Amino acid sequence: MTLPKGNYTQDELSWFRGIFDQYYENIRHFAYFKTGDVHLSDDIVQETFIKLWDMRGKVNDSTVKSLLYTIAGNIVKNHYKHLKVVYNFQVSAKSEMTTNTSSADENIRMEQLDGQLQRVLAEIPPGPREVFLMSRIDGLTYDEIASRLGLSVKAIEKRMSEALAIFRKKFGYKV
Amino acid sequence: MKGNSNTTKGNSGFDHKSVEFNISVPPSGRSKDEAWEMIMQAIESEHEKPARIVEMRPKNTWMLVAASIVIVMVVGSLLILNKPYRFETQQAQTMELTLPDGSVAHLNANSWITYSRVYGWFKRQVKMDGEAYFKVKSGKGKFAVTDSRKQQVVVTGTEFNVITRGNAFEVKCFEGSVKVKISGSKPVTLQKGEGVVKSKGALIRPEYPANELEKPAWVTQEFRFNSTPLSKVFEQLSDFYKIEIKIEGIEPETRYFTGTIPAGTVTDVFDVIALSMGLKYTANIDSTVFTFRYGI
Repeated sequence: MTLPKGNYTQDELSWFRGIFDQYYENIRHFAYFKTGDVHLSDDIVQETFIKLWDMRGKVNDSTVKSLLYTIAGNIVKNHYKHLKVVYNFQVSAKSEMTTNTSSADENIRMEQLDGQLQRVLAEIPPGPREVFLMSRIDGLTYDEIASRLGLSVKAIEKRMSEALAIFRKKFGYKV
Repeated sequence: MKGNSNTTKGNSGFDHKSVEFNISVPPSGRSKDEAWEMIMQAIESEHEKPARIVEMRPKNTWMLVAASIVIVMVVGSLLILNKPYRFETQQAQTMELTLPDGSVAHLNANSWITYSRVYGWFKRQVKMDGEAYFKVKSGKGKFAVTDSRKQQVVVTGTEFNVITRGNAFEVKCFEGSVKVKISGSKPVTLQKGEGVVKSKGALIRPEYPANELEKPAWVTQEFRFNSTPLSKVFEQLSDFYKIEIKIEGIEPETRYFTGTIPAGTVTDVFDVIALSMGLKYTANIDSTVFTFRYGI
Protein backbone atom coordinates (compact mmCIF):
# COMPACT_ATOMS: atom_id res chain seq x y z
CA MET A 1 0.00 0.00 0.00
CA THR A 2 1.23 3.44 -0.84
CA LEU A 3 1.86 5.52 2.23
CA PRO A 4 1.59 9.20 1.58
CA LYS A 5 4.34 11.54 2.68
CA GLY A 6 3.64 14.61 4.69
CA ASN A 7 2.61 15.34 8.21
CA TYR A 8 0.25 12.79 9.62
CA THR A 9 0.22 10.21 12.34
CA GLN A 10 -0.41 6.49 12.00
CA ASP A 11 -3.57 7.03 14.02
CA GLU A 12 -4.84 9.47 11.46
CA LEU A 13 -4.18 7.06 8.63
CA SER A 14 -5.95 4.15 10.31
CA TRP A 15 -8.84 6.42 11.28
CA PHE A 16 -9.07 7.50 7.66
CA ARG A 17 -8.94 3.90 6.43
CA GLY A 18 -11.79 3.04 8.81
CA ILE A 19 -13.95 5.87 7.51
CA PHE A 20 -13.15 4.86 3.95
CA ASP A 21 -14.05 1.21 4.52
CA GLN A 22 -17.27 2.11 6.17
CA TYR A 23 -18.58 4.77 3.82
CA TYR A 24 -16.93 4.22 0.45
CA GLU A 25 -19.84 2.35 -1.10
CA ASN A 26 -22.46 4.60 0.42
CA ILE A 27 -20.83 7.75 -0.82
CA ARG A 28 -20.32 6.24 -4.25
CA HIS A 29 -24.00 5.36 -4.35
CA PHE A 30 -24.96 8.77 -3.07
CA ALA A 31 -22.91 10.41 -5.81
CA TYR A 32 -24.56 8.13 -8.30
CA PHE A 33 -28.02 8.97 -6.95
CA LYS A 34 -27.19 12.58 -7.50
CA THR A 35 -25.44 12.33 -10.86
CA GLY A 36 -26.55 9.13 -12.50
CA ASP A 37 -23.02 8.72 -13.84
CA VAL A 38 -20.83 5.85 -12.63
CA HIS A 39 -17.50 7.32 -13.71
CA LEU A 40 -18.30 10.72 -12.35
CA SER A 41 -19.38 9.07 -9.11
CA ASP A 42 -16.01 7.36 -8.85
CA ASP A 43 -14.30 10.72 -9.22
CA ILE A 44 -16.60 12.34 -6.71
CA VAL A 45 -15.89 9.65 -4.10
CA GLN A 46 -12.20 10.16 -4.74
CA GLU A 47 -12.43 13.91 -4.28
CA THR A 48 -14.67 13.61 -1.24
CA PHE A 49 -12.19 11.43 0.63
CA ILE A 50 -9.23 13.59 -0.38
CA LYS A 51 -11.05 16.62 0.98
CA LEU A 52 -11.80 14.73 4.18
CA TRP A 53 -8.10 13.87 4.50
CA ASP A 54 -7.15 17.51 4.04
CA MET A 55 -9.42 18.53 6.89
CA ARG A 56 -8.62 15.53 9.11
CA GLY A 57 -7.33 17.68 11.94
CA LYS A 58 -10.60 19.59 12.17
CA VAL A 59 -13.05 16.75 11.86
CA ASN A 60 -15.19 15.66 14.75
CA ASP A 61 -15.88 11.91 14.70
CA SER A 62 -19.57 12.39 15.41
CA THR A 63 -20.02 14.59 12.37
CA VAL A 64 -17.75 12.82 9.91
CA LYS A 65 -20.62 10.81 8.40
CA SER A 66 -22.80 13.75 7.50
CA LEU A 67 -19.68 15.71 6.55
CA LEU A 68 -18.88 13.13 3.87
CA TYR A 69 -22.36 13.46 2.42
CA THR A 70 -22.15 17.23 2.56
CA ILE A 71 -18.78 17.25 0.80
CA ALA A 72 -19.99 14.85 -1.87
CA GLY A 73 -23.21 16.84 -2.33
CA ASN A 74 -21.29 20.07 -2.75
CA ILE A 75 -18.87 18.55 -5.24
CA VAL A 76 -21.83 17.40 -7.28
CA LYS A 77 -23.44 20.82 -7.02
CA ASN A 78 -20.31 22.57 -8.23
CA HIS A 79 -19.71 20.06 -10.94
CA TYR A 80 -22.93 18.98 -12.35
CA LYS A 81 -25.92 20.95 -11.25
CA HIS A 82 -26.82 22.28 -14.67
CA LEU A 83 -27.24 18.88 -16.26
CA LYS A 84 -30.31 16.73 -16.18
CA VAL A 85 -29.63 13.48 -14.38
CA VAL A 86 -30.05 10.36 -16.45
CA TYR A 87 -30.22 7.04 -14.69
CA ASN A 88 -28.88 3.78 -15.82
CA PHE A 89 -29.88 1.47 -13.06
CA GLN A 90 -29.26 -2.13 -13.57
CA VAL A 91 -32.23 -4.16 -12.94
CA SER A 92 -30.65 -7.34 -11.77
CA ALA A 93 -34.01 -9.01 -11.94
CA LYS A 94 -33.46 -8.94 -15.66
CA SER A 95 -30.57 -11.35 -15.64
CA GLU A 96 -32.23 -13.48 -13.01
CA MET A 97 -35.26 -13.71 -15.17
CA THR A 98 -33.32 -14.61 -18.30
CA THR A 99 -31.55 -17.40 -16.52
CA ASN A 100 -34.64 -18.59 -14.70
CA THR A 101 -37.09 -18.47 -17.54
CA SER A 102 -37.01 -19.08 -21.23
CA SER A 103 -39.90 -16.81 -21.96
CA ALA A 104 -39.10 -14.19 -24.58
CA ASP A 105 -42.17 -12.38 -23.45
CA GLU A 106 -40.86 -11.97 -19.96
CA ASN A 107 -37.61 -10.64 -21.31
CA ILE A 108 -39.40 -7.97 -23.21
CA ARG A 109 -41.51 -7.14 -20.21
CA MET A 110 -38.36 -6.78 -18.07
CA GLU A 111 -36.79 -4.43 -20.56
CA GLN A 112 -39.93 -2.38 -20.60
CA LEU A 113 -39.96 -2.24 -16.83
CA ASP A 114 -36.30 -1.30 -16.75
CA GLY A 115 -36.85 1.69 -19.04
CA GLN A 116 -39.98 2.66 -17.18
CA LEU A 117 -38.25 2.51 -13.82
CA GLN A 118 -35.46 4.74 -15.00
CA ARG A 119 -37.85 7.28 -16.47
CA VAL A 120 -39.77 7.43 -13.23
CA LEU A 121 -36.62 7.82 -11.15
CA ALA A 122 -35.55 10.69 -13.35
CA GLU A 123 -38.90 12.35 -12.75
CA ILE A 124 -38.62 12.28 -8.98
CA PRO A 125 -37.16 15.53 -7.61
CA PRO A 126 -33.53 15.13 -6.47
CA GLY A 127 -34.19 15.37 -2.73
CA PRO A 128 -36.80 12.62 -2.49
CA ARG A 129 -34.95 10.55 -5.07
CA GLU A 130 -31.74 10.45 -3.01
CA VAL A 131 -33.65 9.48 0.09
CA PHE A 132 -35.61 6.83 -1.75
CA LEU A 133 -32.51 5.30 -3.30
CA MET A 134 -30.52 5.44 -0.07
CA SER A 135 -33.30 3.56 1.55
CA ARG A 136 -33.86 1.02 -1.22
CA ILE A 137 -30.35 0.41 -2.49
CA ASP A 138 -28.17 1.03 0.54
CA GLY A 139 -30.84 -0.35 2.86
CA LEU A 140 -30.44 2.49 5.29
CA THR A 141 -33.05 3.24 7.93
CA TYR A 142 -34.78 6.62 8.02
CA ASP A 143 -32.80 7.46 11.17
CA GLU A 144 -29.59 6.64 9.42
CA ILE A 145 -30.45 8.66 6.30
CA ALA A 146 -31.51 11.58 8.48
CA SER A 147 -28.20 11.61 10.34
CA ARG A 148 -26.14 11.24 7.16
CA LEU A 149 -27.87 14.04 5.32
CA GLY A 150 -28.14 16.19 8.42
CA LEU A 151 -31.91 16.27 8.15
CA SER A 152 -34.69 15.38 10.57
CA VAL A 153 -36.39 11.99 10.41
CA LYS A 154 -39.64 13.81 9.65
CA ALA A 155 -38.08 15.34 6.57
CA ILE A 156 -36.86 11.95 5.42
CA GLU A 157 -40.34 10.48 5.87
CA LYS A 158 -41.80 13.32 3.88
CA ARG A 159 -39.36 12.83 1.03
CA MET A 160 -39.91 9.10 1.03
CA SER A 161 -43.65 9.49 0.75
CA GLU A 162 -43.16 12.02 -2.04
CA ALA A 163 -41.00 9.57 -3.99
CA LEU A 164 -43.39 6.71 -3.35
CA ALA A 165 -46.37 8.78 -4.42
CA ILE A 166 -44.73 9.36 -7.80
CA PHE A 167 -44.06 5.64 -8.15
CA ARG A 168 -47.60 4.87 -7.27
CA LYS A 169 -48.87 7.34 -9.79
CA LYS A 170 -46.62 6.08 -12.59
CA PHE A 171 -46.85 2.40 -12.00
CA GLY A 172 -50.28 2.44 -10.51
CA TYR A 173 -49.17 0.31 -7.62
CA LYS A 174 -47.11 0.59 -4.50
CA VAL A 175 -43.48 -0.38 -4.50
CA MET B 1 -45.27 -1.78 1.90
CA LYS B 2 -43.86 -5.20 1.57
CA GLY B 3 -47.26 -6.65 2.28
CA ASN B 4 -48.54 -5.02 -0.85
CA SER B 5 -45.87 -6.40 -3.07
CA ASN B 6 -48.08 -9.07 -4.52
CA THR B 7 -50.46 -6.57 -5.99
CA THR B 8 -50.46 -6.83 -9.71
CA LYS B 9 -51.60 -4.50 -12.40
CA GLY B 10 -51.78 -4.52 -16.17
CA ASN B 11 -49.39 -6.60 -18.14
CA SER B 12 -46.56 -6.68 -15.63
CA GLY B 13 -47.45 -9.94 -14.18
CA PHE B 14 -44.37 -10.71 -12.10
CA ASP B 15 -43.49 -10.12 -8.51
CA HIS B 16 -42.88 -6.39 -7.93
CA LYS B 17 -41.10 -7.07 -4.74
CA SER B 18 -38.23 -8.54 -6.71
CA VAL B 19 -38.10 -5.47 -8.91
CA GLU B 20 -37.92 -3.24 -5.87
CA PHE B 21 -34.98 -5.06 -4.35
CA ASN B 22 -33.09 -5.74 -7.48
CA ILE B 23 -32.40 -2.22 -8.64
CA SER B 24 -28.80 -1.42 -7.92
CA VAL B 25 -26.05 1.01 -8.77
CA PRO B 26 -23.85 -0.18 -11.65
CA PRO B 27 -20.49 -1.42 -10.41
CA SER B 28 -17.73 1.07 -10.14
CA GLY B 29 -15.01 1.23 -12.75
CA ARG B 30 -12.53 0.46 -10.02
CA SER B 31 -12.40 -1.78 -7.02
CA LYS B 32 -12.54 -0.41 -3.54
CA ASP B 33 -8.85 -1.15 -3.04
CA GLU B 34 -7.99 0.61 -6.26
CA ALA B 35 -10.04 3.56 -5.09
CA TRP B 36 -8.14 3.61 -1.80
CA GLU B 37 -4.82 3.40 -3.60
CA MET B 38 -5.79 6.27 -5.84
CA ILE B 39 -6.72 8.39 -2.86
CA MET B 40 -3.37 7.67 -1.24
CA GLN B 41 -1.58 8.63 -4.45
CA ALA B 42 -3.62 11.78 -4.74
CA ILE B 43 -2.72 12.71 -1.17
CA GLU B 44 0.91 11.91 -1.93
CA SER B 45 1.05 14.10 -5.02
CA GLU B 46 -0.73 16.84 -3.09
CA HIS B 47 2.29 16.93 -0.80
CA GLU B 48 4.73 16.92 -3.67
CA LYS B 49 3.21 20.06 -5.02
CA PRO B 50 5.06 23.17 -3.99
CA ALA B 51 3.60 24.77 -0.93
CA ARG B 52 0.61 26.76 -1.92
CA ILE B 53 1.49 30.40 -1.93
CA VAL B 54 -1.19 32.35 -0.21
CA GLU B 55 -1.15 35.84 -1.56
CA MET B 56 -1.57 38.29 1.24
CA ARG B 57 -2.12 41.13 -1.16
CA PRO B 58 -4.95 43.21 0.16
CA LYS B 59 -7.61 44.55 -2.16
CA ASN B 60 -6.69 48.19 -1.89
CA THR B 61 -3.11 47.66 -3.00
CA TRP B 62 -2.92 51.00 -4.76
CA MET B 63 -4.09 52.84 -1.71
CA LEU B 64 -1.36 51.18 0.34
CA VAL B 65 1.26 51.86 -2.31
CA ALA B 66 0.20 55.50 -2.44
CA ALA B 67 0.18 55.71 1.34
CA SER B 68 3.67 54.26 1.63
CA ILE B 69 4.99 56.62 -1.02
CA VAL B 70 3.52 59.54 0.90
CA ILE B 71 5.04 58.26 4.13
CA VAL B 72 8.44 57.80 2.51
CA MET B 73 8.25 61.29 1.03
CA VAL B 74 7.20 62.89 4.31
CA VAL B 75 9.87 61.08 6.32
CA GLY B 76 12.44 61.77 3.61
CA SER B 77 11.64 65.47 3.43
CA LEU B 78 11.71 65.72 7.21
CA LEU B 79 15.15 64.12 7.21
CA ILE B 80 16.30 66.44 4.44
CA LEU B 81 14.81 69.52 6.13
CA ASN B 82 16.33 68.50 9.40
CA LYS B 83 19.83 68.51 7.96
CA PRO B 84 21.06 72.07 8.20
CA TYR B 85 23.20 73.95 5.74
CA ARG B 86 26.74 74.31 7.02
CA PHE B 87 29.55 76.56 5.88
CA GLU B 88 33.03 76.48 7.22
CA THR B 89 36.21 78.45 6.69
CA GLN B 90 39.79 77.29 7.06
CA GLN B 91 42.89 79.15 8.18
CA ALA B 92 43.33 82.49 6.37
CA GLN B 93 40.06 82.11 4.53
CA THR B 94 37.00 84.30 4.71
CA MET B 95 33.61 83.72 3.25
CA GLU B 96 30.63 85.87 2.49
CA LEU B 97 27.30 84.15 2.28
CA THR B 98 23.80 85.37 1.75
CA LEU B 99 21.11 83.77 3.87
CA PRO B 100 17.71 82.90 2.34
CA ASP B 101 16.12 86.12 3.60
CA GLY B 102 18.82 88.30 2.04
CA SER B 103 20.79 88.86 5.24
CA VAL B 104 24.52 88.55 4.78
CA ALA B 105 26.94 86.71 7.00
CA HIS B 106 30.71 87.12 6.70
CA LEU B 107 32.74 84.32 8.11
CA ASN B 108 36.23 85.00 9.31
CA ALA B 109 38.94 82.31 9.28
CA ASN B 110 38.44 79.08 11.24
CA SER B 111 34.74 79.59 11.69
CA TRP B 112 31.59 77.82 10.84
CA ILE B 113 27.94 78.67 10.55
CA THR B 114 24.89 76.50 10.15
CA TYR B 115 21.29 77.29 9.46
CA SER B 116 18.23 75.16 8.98
CA ARG B 117 16.64 74.38 5.64
CA VAL B 118 13.50 75.95 7.00
CA TYR B 119 15.38 79.15 7.88
CA GLY B 120 12.93 82.00 7.58
CA TRP B 121 9.81 79.84 7.67
CA PHE B 122 9.09 80.54 11.31
CA LYS B 123 12.20 82.16 12.65
CA ARG B 124 15.59 83.22 11.44
CA GLN B 125 18.16 81.41 13.42
CA VAL B 126 21.78 80.64 12.75
CA LYS B 127 24.31 78.81 14.82
CA MET B 128 27.98 79.63 14.67
CA ASP B 129 31.42 79.35 16.11
CA GLY B 130 34.45 81.46 15.45
CA GLU B 131 33.95 84.98 14.16
CA ALA B 132 31.12 86.20 12.00
CA TYR B 133 29.88 89.59 10.93
CA PHE B 134 26.17 89.85 10.18
CA LYS B 135 24.27 92.38 8.11
CA VAL B 136 20.69 91.56 8.99
CA LYS B 137 17.87 92.53 6.68
CA SER B 138 14.77 93.66 8.46
CA GLY B 139 12.00 91.22 7.86
CA LYS B 140 9.67 88.66 9.28
CA GLY B 141 10.75 87.14 12.57
CA LYS B 142 13.56 88.07 14.86
CA PHE B 143 17.03 87.23 13.76
CA ALA B 144 18.90 85.22 16.34
CA VAL B 145 22.42 83.87 16.57
CA THR B 146 23.40 81.14 18.95
CA ASP B 147 26.90 80.00 19.44
CA SER B 148 27.87 76.45 20.13
CA ARG B 149 27.54 77.12 23.86
CA LYS B 150 24.00 78.53 23.53
CA GLN B 151 24.94 82.12 24.25
CA GLN B 152 22.33 83.99 22.36
CA VAL B 153 22.37 87.15 20.38
CA VAL B 154 18.92 88.40 19.47
CA VAL B 155 18.93 91.14 16.94
CA THR B 156 16.44 93.69 15.81
CA GLY B 157 17.81 94.29 12.38
CA THR B 158 21.36 95.62 12.15
CA GLU B 159 25.03 94.95 11.63
CA PHE B 160 27.09 93.32 14.27
CA ASN B 161 30.12 91.17 14.76
CA VAL B 162 30.27 88.10 16.93
CA ILE B 163 33.44 86.43 18.13
CA THR B 164 33.03 83.22 20.01
CA ARG B 165 36.09 81.05 20.27
CA GLY B 166 36.70 78.81 23.20
CA ASN B 167 35.89 80.89 26.22
CA ALA B 168 36.11 84.18 24.39
CA PHE B 169 32.83 85.83 23.58
CA GLU B 170 32.48 89.28 22.16
CA VAL B 171 29.73 91.12 20.33
CA LYS B 172 30.15 94.50 18.69
CA CYS B 173 27.31 96.47 17.23
CA PHE B 174 27.93 98.58 14.14
CA GLU B 175 24.41 99.56 13.10
CA GLY B 176 21.04 99.55 14.86
CA SER B 177 20.77 97.67 18.11
CA VAL B 178 21.62 94.20 19.33
CA LYS B 179 20.39 92.34 22.36
CA VAL B 180 22.88 89.91 23.88
CA LYS B 181 21.89 87.18 26.28
CA ILE B 182 24.13 84.64 27.88
CA SER B 183 23.03 82.04 30.36
CA GLY B 184 23.29 83.24 33.94
CA SER B 185 23.38 86.94 33.07
CA LYS B 186 20.92 89.73 32.36
CA PRO B 187 20.44 90.57 28.69
CA VAL B 188 22.38 93.57 27.46
CA THR B 189 21.24 95.84 24.66
CA LEU B 190 23.93 97.38 22.51
CA GLN B 191 23.60 100.48 20.37
CA LYS B 192 25.77 101.48 17.46
CA GLY B 193 29.41 101.66 18.50
CA GLU B 194 28.94 99.60 21.62
CA GLY B 195 30.27 96.19 22.39
CA VAL B 196 30.22 93.60 25.07
CA VAL B 197 32.61 90.87 26.14
CA LYS B 198 32.17 88.00 28.48
CA SER B 199 34.40 88.10 31.50
CA LYS B 200 34.14 85.57 34.32
CA GLY B 201 30.66 84.49 33.30
CA ALA B 202 29.28 88.07 33.11
CA LEU B 203 28.85 90.53 30.29
CA ILE B 204 30.88 93.69 30.60
CA ARG B 205 31.15 96.69 28.30
CA PRO B 206 34.73 97.61 27.59
CA GLU B 207 35.78 101.06 26.44
CA TYR B 208 36.73 100.67 22.83
CA PRO B 209 39.29 102.90 21.15
CA ALA B 210 37.75 104.67 18.20
CA ASN B 211 39.53 102.64 15.52
CA GLU B 212 38.23 99.37 16.95
CA LEU B 213 34.73 100.45 16.20
CA GLU B 214 35.53 100.51 12.53
CA LYS B 215 34.06 97.62 10.63
CA PRO B 216 36.60 94.80 10.68
CA ALA B 217 38.98 94.84 7.76
CA TRP B 218 38.26 91.21 6.97
CA VAL B 219 34.66 92.19 6.34
CA THR B 220 35.17 95.37 4.39
CA GLN B 221 38.27 93.99 2.71
CA GLU B 222 39.99 97.32 3.24
CA PHE B 223 42.04 98.95 5.93
CA ARG B 224 41.01 102.38 7.07
CA PHE B 225 43.57 104.35 8.99
CA ASN B 226 43.06 107.86 10.23
CA SER B 227 46.16 109.33 11.88
CA THR B 228 46.85 105.91 13.25
CA PRO B 229 50.26 105.31 14.81
CA LEU B 230 52.35 102.91 12.75
CA SER B 231 52.60 100.65 15.74
CA LYS B 232 48.83 100.17 15.63
CA VAL B 233 48.88 99.79 11.84
CA PHE B 234 51.49 97.04 12.02
CA GLU B 235 49.64 95.40 14.89
CA GLN B 236 46.46 95.23 12.87
CA LEU B 237 48.18 94.03 9.71
CA SER B 238 50.19 91.34 11.42
CA ASP B 239 47.02 90.23 13.11
CA PHE B 240 45.08 90.21 9.84
CA TYR B 241 47.69 88.46 7.74
CA LYS B 242 48.99 86.26 10.55
CA ILE B 243 52.55 87.36 9.97
CA GLU B 244 55.28 88.83 12.11
CA ILE B 245 56.44 92.43 11.54
CA LYS B 246 59.83 93.54 12.76
CA ILE B 247 61.03 97.13 12.85
CA GLU B 248 64.57 98.33 12.52
CA GLY B 249 65.45 101.94 13.42
CA ILE B 250 61.93 103.26 13.38
CA GLU B 251 59.88 104.58 16.27
CA PRO B 252 56.45 103.49 15.07
CA GLU B 253 54.59 105.27 17.85
CA THR B 254 55.70 108.61 16.46
CA ARG B 255 54.72 108.02 12.83
CA TYR B 256 51.08 108.28 11.84
CA PHE B 257 49.38 106.86 8.83
CA THR B 258 46.17 108.03 7.21
CA GLY B 259 44.52 106.31 4.28
CA THR B 260 42.44 103.44 3.03
CA ILE B 261 44.16 100.38 1.62
CA PRO B 262 42.30 97.53 -0.11
CA ALA B 263 43.01 94.28 1.70
CA GLY B 264 44.83 92.62 -1.16
CA THR B 265 47.97 90.61 -0.72
CA VAL B 266 50.36 91.42 2.09
CA THR B 267 52.90 92.94 -0.29
CA ASP B 268 50.26 95.12 -1.96
CA VAL B 269 49.36 96.62 1.38
CA PHE B 270 52.98 96.90 2.53
CA ASP B 271 53.99 98.53 -0.74
CA VAL B 272 51.43 101.26 -0.12
CA ILE B 273 52.57 101.82 3.46
CA ALA B 274 56.27 101.65 2.67
CA LEU B 275 56.05 104.07 -0.22
CA SER B 276 53.90 106.58 1.58
CA MET B 277 55.94 106.45 4.79
CA GLY B 278 59.38 106.44 3.14
CA LEU B 279 60.20 102.95 4.34
CA LYS B 280 61.38 99.73 2.78
CA TYR B 281 60.78 96.18 3.86
CA THR B 282 62.21 92.76 3.36
CA ALA B 283 60.56 89.41 3.79
CA ASN B 284 62.08 86.19 5.00
CA ILE B 285 62.17 83.18 2.76
CA ASP B 286 58.69 81.85 3.49
CA SER B 287 57.06 85.29 3.83
CA THR B 288 56.15 84.93 7.49
CA VAL B 289 58.41 87.66 8.86
CA PHE B 290 58.62 91.14 7.38
CA THR B 291 61.21 93.68 8.45
CA PHE B 292 60.70 97.42 7.98
CA ARG B 293 63.48 99.96 7.99
CA TYR B 294 64.15 103.40 6.65
CA GLY B 295 65.08 103.64 3.06
CA ILE B 296 63.62 103.87 -0.35
